[in-house]
Amino acid sequence: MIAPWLVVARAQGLVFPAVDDRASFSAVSYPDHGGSVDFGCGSATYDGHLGTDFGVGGFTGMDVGTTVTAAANGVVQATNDGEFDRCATADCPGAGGLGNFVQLLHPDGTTTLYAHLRQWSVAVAVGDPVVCGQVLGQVGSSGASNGPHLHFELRDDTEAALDPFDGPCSGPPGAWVDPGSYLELPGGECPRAAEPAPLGVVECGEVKAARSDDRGSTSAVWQYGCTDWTYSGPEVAYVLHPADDTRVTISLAGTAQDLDLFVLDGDLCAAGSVEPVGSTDVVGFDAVGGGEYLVVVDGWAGAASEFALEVACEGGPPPPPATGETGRVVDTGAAEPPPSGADPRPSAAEPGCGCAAPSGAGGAAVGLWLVGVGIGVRRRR
Amino acid sequence: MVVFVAACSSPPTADVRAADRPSADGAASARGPHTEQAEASPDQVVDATMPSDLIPPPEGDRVNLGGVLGAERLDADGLRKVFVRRAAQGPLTELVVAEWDGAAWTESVRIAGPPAPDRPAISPDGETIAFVSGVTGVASVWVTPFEGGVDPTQLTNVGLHLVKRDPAHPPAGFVPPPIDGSLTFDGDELSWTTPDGVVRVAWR
Repeated sequence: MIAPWLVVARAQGLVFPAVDDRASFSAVSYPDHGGSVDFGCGSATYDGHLGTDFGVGGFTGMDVGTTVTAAANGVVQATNDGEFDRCATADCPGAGGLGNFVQLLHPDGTTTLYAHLRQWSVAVAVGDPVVCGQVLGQVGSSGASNGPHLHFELRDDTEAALDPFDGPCSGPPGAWVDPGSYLELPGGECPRAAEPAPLGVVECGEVKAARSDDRGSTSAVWQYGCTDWTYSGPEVAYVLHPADDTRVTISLAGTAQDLDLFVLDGDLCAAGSVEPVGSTDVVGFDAVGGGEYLVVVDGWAGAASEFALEVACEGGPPPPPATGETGRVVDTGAAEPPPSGADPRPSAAEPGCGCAAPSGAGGAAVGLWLVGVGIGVRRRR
Repeated sequence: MVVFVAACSSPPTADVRAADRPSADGAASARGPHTEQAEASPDQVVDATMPSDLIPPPEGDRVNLGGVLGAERLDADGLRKVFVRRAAQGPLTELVVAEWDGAAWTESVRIAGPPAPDRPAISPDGETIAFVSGVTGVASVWVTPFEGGVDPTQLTNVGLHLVKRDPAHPPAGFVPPPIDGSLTFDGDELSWTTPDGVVRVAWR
């Protein structure tokens, strides 16, 4: 029997709400279908629970900074931050028990809720458009929680609770792109545009000083094919049109957070560099005269920062001398925190690697519903 | 002006009305904190057949346990009260005021919608209510007339708008909200308990 307070879920295409830190989570409690019965007819739930709890291994998992990301595209409907986040008694106040939280409204009218977030980790504001996989905050234990975990809820356009899981004690369909096995985590990949929309043109001999989350930045691409790492931070892109065949060298420096550098040639990643924060990313590739290349600066694990992008073409004008300016003054606390501990990724500068096409959900057009953000939505070729 | 006082005081107990005050619900007048919350305790649910790491909580919550959240707060005469309850639909809350007309309580929803107001208090004269709301994105203390009709007035964290924050760098000038239901009218000041001590803020 389906509990009257849970309705049949409509297909939404949700992905697990932690694309970068999925390995840090475990499923703890599912929505209750009546009598503390979960969708699989087991008892991994408790009376009246309408969301899904995903644990992170206690306060240790919380303190390393475990990111929570949007399960689908949408717009921010409500947030709260500033609440005490180390509750262990399940009765701490804060937004009626939600603590620090983010609520998203999705194009199909459903909403998702991400509750008990870490204090000062909420990374979005009401009205912000978000894309699947975009960082919303970090796992905490704020509000009515007795240990760090993500309380994730799905509701329909009447605010009735939905169970995103489908099983013998829950009516179809489920809402996950990949529900996973019972008692395992759901998976799935966010649909992505093949390329980010460029901010403008960059030329040989030019230095661009900007921020990766400047107006016009997007969070549309999170996999580039040159590397297995995913990039949930905002990205900015520039078009390069070399007039003649030339060897191009591009460097990315002056970053305060972990940004990386990629060059796209259509669907192919022509070059990529994934140096950790504090190092300079440098790529080189042989450009064809008259061709069009997309130079992309993207943030790893939600990072955003100022940067200086320098483009040099063999035989062309040299870049101007460094002025020491690397973009706008950064507001205190405005940037997202770097991943704690050492960057686990190996250095991987791959000039001219001719890597495989960007991975991600293939083929389908991205039905983005984003307010105030210009994104060129393109079908993958 | 915000004044922090060392955390020596214990959280106040819920308002208790005189025993002979009428109430539409006879038990309401003697309620203490959390007595109307559902008693389900996540960590009491045990299934020996389940893997131990999947027995619901220690990492669980009470988000979806409905009804009135926290204690009702009453004015000095016991004829006006304010409380927070879970909205009929959705996970958010609504702040409700009620007035005794001699025979029954008449309720009105004062604050509803996102994000989710909570931790209410009422002035001794019953004219003003205070509550906590994150409508600006930051949990802050607000006051509004019991009768409603005007927008609430923000008392703390005015002008703080948080986007892309950093857990290691809280914003300068932030005044924490109550860590419990201790928001209390004390003359011209509101006071409450925070992790940093007792805060006092002028409300008029």
